[in-house]
Amino acid sequence: MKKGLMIFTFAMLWLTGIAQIADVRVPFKAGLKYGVQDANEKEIIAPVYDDVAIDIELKLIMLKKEGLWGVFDWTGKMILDFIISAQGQGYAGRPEIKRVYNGNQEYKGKTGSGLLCVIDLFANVRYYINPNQLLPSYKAYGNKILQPDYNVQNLNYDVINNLFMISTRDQRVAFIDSTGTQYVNDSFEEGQLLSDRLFTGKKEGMFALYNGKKPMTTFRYDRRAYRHFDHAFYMSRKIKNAAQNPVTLYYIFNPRGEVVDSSESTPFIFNGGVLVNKGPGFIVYDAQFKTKFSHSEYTGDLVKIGARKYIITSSKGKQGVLTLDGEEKYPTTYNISKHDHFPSLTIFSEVKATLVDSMLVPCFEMDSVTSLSPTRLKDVYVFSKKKSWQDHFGLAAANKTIIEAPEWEQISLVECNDLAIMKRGREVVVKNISENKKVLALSNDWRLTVDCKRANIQAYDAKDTYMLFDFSGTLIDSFSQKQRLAAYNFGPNKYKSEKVNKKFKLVDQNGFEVLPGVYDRIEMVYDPASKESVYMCQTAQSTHPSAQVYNDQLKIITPAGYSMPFDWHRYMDENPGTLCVVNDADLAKNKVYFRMGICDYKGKWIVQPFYGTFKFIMPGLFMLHYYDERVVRVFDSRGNKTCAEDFFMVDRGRGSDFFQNRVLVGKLKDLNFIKQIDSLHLEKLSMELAVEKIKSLGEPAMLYGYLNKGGKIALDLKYAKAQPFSMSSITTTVSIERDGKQVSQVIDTSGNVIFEADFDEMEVIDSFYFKVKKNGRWALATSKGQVLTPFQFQELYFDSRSGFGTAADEGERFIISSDYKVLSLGKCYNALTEKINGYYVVKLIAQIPGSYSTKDKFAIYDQDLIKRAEVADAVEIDGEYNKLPLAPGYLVVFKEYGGKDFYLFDVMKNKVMERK
Amino acid sequence: MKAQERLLILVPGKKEILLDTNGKVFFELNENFEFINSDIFRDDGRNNIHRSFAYPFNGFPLLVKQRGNNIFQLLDKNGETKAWLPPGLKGVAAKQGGFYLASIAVDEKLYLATRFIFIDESGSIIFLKEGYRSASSFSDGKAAVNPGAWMFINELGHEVKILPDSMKNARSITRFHEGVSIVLMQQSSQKGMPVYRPYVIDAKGNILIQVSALFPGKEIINMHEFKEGVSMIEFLRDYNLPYNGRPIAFINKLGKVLLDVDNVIDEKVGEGGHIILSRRQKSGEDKWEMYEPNGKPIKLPPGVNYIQPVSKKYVKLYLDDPKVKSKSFLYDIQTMKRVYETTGYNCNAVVHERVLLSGPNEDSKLVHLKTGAILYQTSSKDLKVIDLDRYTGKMEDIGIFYCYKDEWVPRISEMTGLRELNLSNLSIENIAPIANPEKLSLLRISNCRKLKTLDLGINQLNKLSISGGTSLKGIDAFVQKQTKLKELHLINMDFSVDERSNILNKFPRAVIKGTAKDADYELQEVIDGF
Repeated sequence: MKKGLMIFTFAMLWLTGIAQIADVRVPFKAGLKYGVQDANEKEIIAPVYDDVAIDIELKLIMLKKEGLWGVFDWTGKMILDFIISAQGQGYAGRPEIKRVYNGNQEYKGKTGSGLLCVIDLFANVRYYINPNQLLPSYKAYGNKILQPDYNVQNLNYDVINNLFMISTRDQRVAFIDSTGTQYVNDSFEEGQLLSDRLFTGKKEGMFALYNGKKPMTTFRYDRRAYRHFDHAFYMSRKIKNAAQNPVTLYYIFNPRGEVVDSSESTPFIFNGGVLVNKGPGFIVYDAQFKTKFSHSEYTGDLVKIGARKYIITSSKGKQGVLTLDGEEKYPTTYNISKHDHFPSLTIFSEVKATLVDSMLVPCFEMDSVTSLSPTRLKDVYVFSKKKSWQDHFGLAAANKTIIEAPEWEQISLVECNDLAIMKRGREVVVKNISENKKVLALSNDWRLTVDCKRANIQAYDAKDTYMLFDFSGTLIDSFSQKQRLAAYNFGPNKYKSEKVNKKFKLVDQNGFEVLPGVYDRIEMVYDPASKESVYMCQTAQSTHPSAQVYNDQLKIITPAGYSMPFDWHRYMDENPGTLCVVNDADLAKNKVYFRMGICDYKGKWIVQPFYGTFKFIMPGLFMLHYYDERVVRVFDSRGNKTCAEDFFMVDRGRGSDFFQNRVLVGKLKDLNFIKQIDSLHLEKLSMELAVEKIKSLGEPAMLYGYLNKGGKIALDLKYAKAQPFSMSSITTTVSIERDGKQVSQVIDTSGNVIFEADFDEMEVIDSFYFKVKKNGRWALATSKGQVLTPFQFQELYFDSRSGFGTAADEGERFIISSDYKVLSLGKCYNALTEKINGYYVVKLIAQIPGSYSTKDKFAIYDQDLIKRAEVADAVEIDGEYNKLPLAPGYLVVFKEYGGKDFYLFDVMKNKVMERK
Repeated sequence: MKAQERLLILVPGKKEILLDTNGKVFFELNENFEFINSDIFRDDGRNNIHRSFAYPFNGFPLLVKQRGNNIFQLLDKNGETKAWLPPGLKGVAAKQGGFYLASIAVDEKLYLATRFIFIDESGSIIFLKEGYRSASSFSDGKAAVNPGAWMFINELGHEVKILPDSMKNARSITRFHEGVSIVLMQQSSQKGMPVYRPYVIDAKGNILIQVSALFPGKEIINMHEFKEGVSMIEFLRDYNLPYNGRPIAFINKLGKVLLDVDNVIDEKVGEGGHIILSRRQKSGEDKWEMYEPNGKPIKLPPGVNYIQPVSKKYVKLYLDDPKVKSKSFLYDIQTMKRVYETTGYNCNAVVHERVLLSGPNEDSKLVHLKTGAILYQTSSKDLKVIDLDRYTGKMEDIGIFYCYKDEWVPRISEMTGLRELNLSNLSIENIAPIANPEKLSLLRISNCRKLKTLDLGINQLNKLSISGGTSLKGIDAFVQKQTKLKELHLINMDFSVDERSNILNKFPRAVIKGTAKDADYELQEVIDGF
């Protein structure tokens, strides 16, 4: 039995394999023509075409003949004749074929109907085809996706897989099924999808309803259907009633498209039912259109209070409340008002007003008021009382204490605090309710705007004056319209730059030039602390001095003999109020060895000049390289050293910034290294030789640690090796020396050891992989420290997304497969590896002896790193043909760059796919 | 299926409208737009300024152009923009065969070339995006295009193999109209002028007529599309002889020469295939003739001095009349009977027995030819009155008046709603008082050299232009009175230094140019025999 099962399983696997082979379609070339074959080289399409494109995902073949593309199915049967121009098809150079979303609504539904669209960009048309159900011919439709109708909401597009709303070529609307057949042999001015069967179409300004092919109504509705729920929708049209007055009649439809009821009032369709006013009386239907209850006299108005719905009933000028089950909570003897922004109702009787919550539970009441409503403040209510003909508003607390007497024509509460803005007569008052304190009182000529984000109140007199107050009523600022405009144009700066004939001049608010010259560029920095700006004006492009720096008083601020290289302007906004300058005479003598200092906007030194330059400038921090002392010193923006220690190096690795608030710094463990370097007299050597000499000294012993971005030591300098923190992880790798051995550690930003291992060094590759070093050789390891390859590489790269890596050692090149097998490619100048269509394609680059020229050849390896082919005549190998991926195992080999001379290659058969 | 095509009537004006044949307004444009209902020229691609007033409507959207610039839009039923056509178009032809033929300028480094593109109803360029060197509109599902060599394309933009290879380098090829296309092949001329060998081909590419073979020894310079089976052929005339008209011939689609005549001064083929000619006689007089599509002469009434074909059924004849310069009537071609007198009116179109007439004062009316009923008439309230003698409305309805006859001047005081007044070439000394000077916002006076005074009650002008008012006094005071003036032009008049500075103080942007002497020179152009 067990054996039989094995045989059956084997047979099934074999058959599946055969089927998969038979399911492969690849292009082949015969002379200058193309055909299509399967994996067994059986000809599916004869080689008589000018080009072929095969979509292996959609199982479609495109063939080009005489400048036109046609579309064929997997067996070679024609779907779309040669009607699509090969010109003007964009980047791909062939028609694009896409799956059509349900309803033809991209981003709304799925794409499982089998309907595809073939897009012809040249004619700006698309064809709708279904390879599973072919039609005798296909029509060219418009190349436009119609937007869903805003009157139709909550439509479940997942089920609309046999009704698609499409644009016709003349920009009208048509409806097709999943074979591409039009439901109605007609097109419409507009249309709507209402369900998986129902749609509307508009002609001559009137809508009709269709259920598939069947017209359910004539073109009689003048407004589009309104549909927000599955169980009902309505359409309307204007008619004349019995009194010959024009009225709108609303027709309510069930999901089958049948009219169930009609009314001259807008029906209320809600989740689970429909309320139809009959005037007089109303009916409440359930979702199946069975009458739940009705009333012969009342008018019903569906209201939502919080999460609950009620019917506010009306009769003879009075109102009451019903539940959706018909239970009368309040008879029609009240006046009721609903509050838009609060889940509550106010119910007015003859004597009092009661505020009820969404459960209709009374929560506050007042006697003899004309209005009562809640506010954003939990215990504060707005009420009004009638004075002569006008309502006057006041505020009351939950204990009915009057906070503000009803003497105001208008009261509104500010959204973000306890302020109320109140207006009466010529007076506008802002009052803090919780503190019962008048904050501001102005005449009603002033328009007030409360800005919660900036915590201020802006008052504008509608003429020229603005005033800004804080929430305690203190005047912060006052400015004119002109000043406001200037602030918009000039920002915080006193002057702005203006372009004149490709140069720039500095102008004031009246547009007058304030500096005599014009400059190549003008950049400015504003220092909010001193409320001053500097204007960095470029005077030269490639010579020094290249800039003049002016302050608001139009004085050059750089100390005598010093100026700012204009290129440095991009660093100067990191620490406003400071300016890095160089000694002009030094720079004229030596372009790499000069004095640099940092001054303030008055030209006073913050950091005295020194021979060297800045290593990094960050907000609040300068890292300065002192050449003579061979140290890096860290200063804050006031020129104070942030830590006592000097450093030998500061490094941010390959990152664009210091991440995780940690700055990697290091110092020499043995200062004799400096003396050793000095003894080399590097200044007398060429650059290449100097580098060689330094390398010969070997790597110096170091102590690494981390500063925070304030320049203070965050992790002590105790690590023998260390890496900067990356942008994506709060961990990094370091190594320490313990008992004379190197121990690698993964630490977090606080220096906590996450784990450690017996490696000399570790480097993070990504969140899954590390590379780890022992005895001077790298190996691949997991992020948990599990070693995956031998320690045998000087260089190692691994990309977990593409699932393979490359490595090198002493000129020998390696591939590391996704299951961490290692294959030696032998020694060569370089080897570039790509994974294409399931194969490792390696470009082996050999240097021609005695020359700088190289010779390339390609080797192709399968998943198990078994060599399958070698290609000597290629410059490039790709896995796509006509911008569509080839079936696994097939490649395109380009014999020249630009792609004109190429051939198709069967890797498994190690064979060029070309027939005589 | 779209609505069937029906003919509407385009009424030009400040606010252009489309009328149905009952005179009911079908669509009104706002004044920023104008309808496009013309073809584009095959050389420079610009729209023909002569629009067809018979507007074929086969559903929305409508092609319009913003006035004053070349921005084309498609408007829906509510007048809202359904699509913008690509910017930078030189011209766009009315939709034919479902597409708009348009032209663009292409920078060819040394010159700007015109290229022709097709645009669909989404406003997108279709087919060759860089454009064709030449192209015809779509007709019968095909268009002739020249992307480098002539071909016919179908509605998907691919070549339809119709054109014989020998014709691919033709000079021009027309669309298929009345089932045939005309191919003009270039031919060398002994006289160095461009002459052609025209061929008439059918939709299969068969050559139906080798036109040159019909006229041995004659050199053809143009052949026009067939209208109801009649095409006109123009021949090269002998430039060594004094001009006494040109040789012209007319053929039908069977290749029969209907007429082959010399000394033709004016010629046209009417919509119904009727041949209309004016020929110079030996006496030196020009005589009008008309023929049926089969070449049979039609007897014309005496005294015809111009013939304008109006529709398939009607022609407009201008007849000599000693009383007026020219009398005009619509005639039924078949019966040659007068149908309607149109003297003083332009006859824009006849659609389903309704004639659209436009008068001298930008007024239009739609008249039913059978009943004589006026189905539509522009309101007399918003007219630009250029010919007061033929203005039939009320004087108080005139808003804009162009006055160039002295005898009209006294009537200005009756125009109580006057907003713009243009006075030119008058010999009066004073203008009649303006009834409501506060309404007048524009005053333009040119070459009224005897005019002495201006009404100081006029003080609400936005724009004032005076040219050659050499006798005018008190212009300074008149300008000082103005409170709303935005534009001021004072041309060819003398001013004292004080006057000039006063005017410029009051209105610094005033344009003051020329002297009274300059006006004399200008006047020589205007006054005959000066």
